[in-house]
Amino acid sequence: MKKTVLVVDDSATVRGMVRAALGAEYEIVEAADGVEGLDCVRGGGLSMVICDVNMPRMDGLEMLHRLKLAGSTVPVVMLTTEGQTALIARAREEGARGWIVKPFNADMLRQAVARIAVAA
Amino acid sequence: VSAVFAAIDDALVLALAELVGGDAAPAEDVGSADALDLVAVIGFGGPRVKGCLGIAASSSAVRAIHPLGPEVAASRRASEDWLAELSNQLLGRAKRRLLAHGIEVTLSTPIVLRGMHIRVARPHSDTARCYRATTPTEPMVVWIDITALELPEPAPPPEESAAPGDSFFF
Repeated sequence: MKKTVLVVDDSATVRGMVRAALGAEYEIVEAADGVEGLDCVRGGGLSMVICDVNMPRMDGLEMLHRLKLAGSTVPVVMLTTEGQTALIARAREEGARGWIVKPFNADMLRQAVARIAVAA
Repeated sequence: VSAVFAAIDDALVLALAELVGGDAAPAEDVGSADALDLVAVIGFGGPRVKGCLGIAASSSAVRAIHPLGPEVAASRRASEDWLAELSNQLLGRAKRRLLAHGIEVTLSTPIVLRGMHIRVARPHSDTARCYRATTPTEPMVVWIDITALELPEPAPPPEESAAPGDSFFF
């Protein structure tokens, strides 16, 4: 059975790029912002979350914070244009397992997910 | 402001060429083209500067450079979405350069406007820069408008930031 990866990004194009990169090996679930992302995680069954930072309604760092408060153990990797060391440090403190600066390519993403999701 | 532009000029040209997949260069003016029908705008702000970055493009140009291919990009929503993401990624590159010069900004989420025969007014040359990139169809034009904010405190020290394509695992 395929493991399930949630991709949270307000860009449908980016979600599509992640699906194109990982869809052959993983079941992909999509959410357009942190609010939808939290709902998906609460639904259970996820092996990993790939999450943007700058999003409307709820950004990725806030979503990460709420997952930590809720005691979630689903590994989260941030996928964002942001590269600020302070933000990366904050994500790490909030329990993120990785940080990828856009743009990404399919191989890079597959390797990252294999590293995190397979270990989960 | 001129020092800020000096810091980000080449980063924006390089990023534009990479993301669009064509030639990119600074331009005297945003120019105009009857085919332009999409504009993405993303704002930014911090203690020292505020402003926005805009991209004007034709739907056909956005479809031609869409990473998921022209079939996916055929829908209006897909074209708008990719142009918004392009503005986000371009400004992300500029933000990295600004951080290296001690200028911290926060980005807004982008918005996209759709019209017909869009003509972008020439920005003020002392507060804005324009760039032009070739695509398989019509050229795409980008402008960034920056306003310096007067604040008494000294600039924070330059900050390192991760480069596009970098990844970290904890």
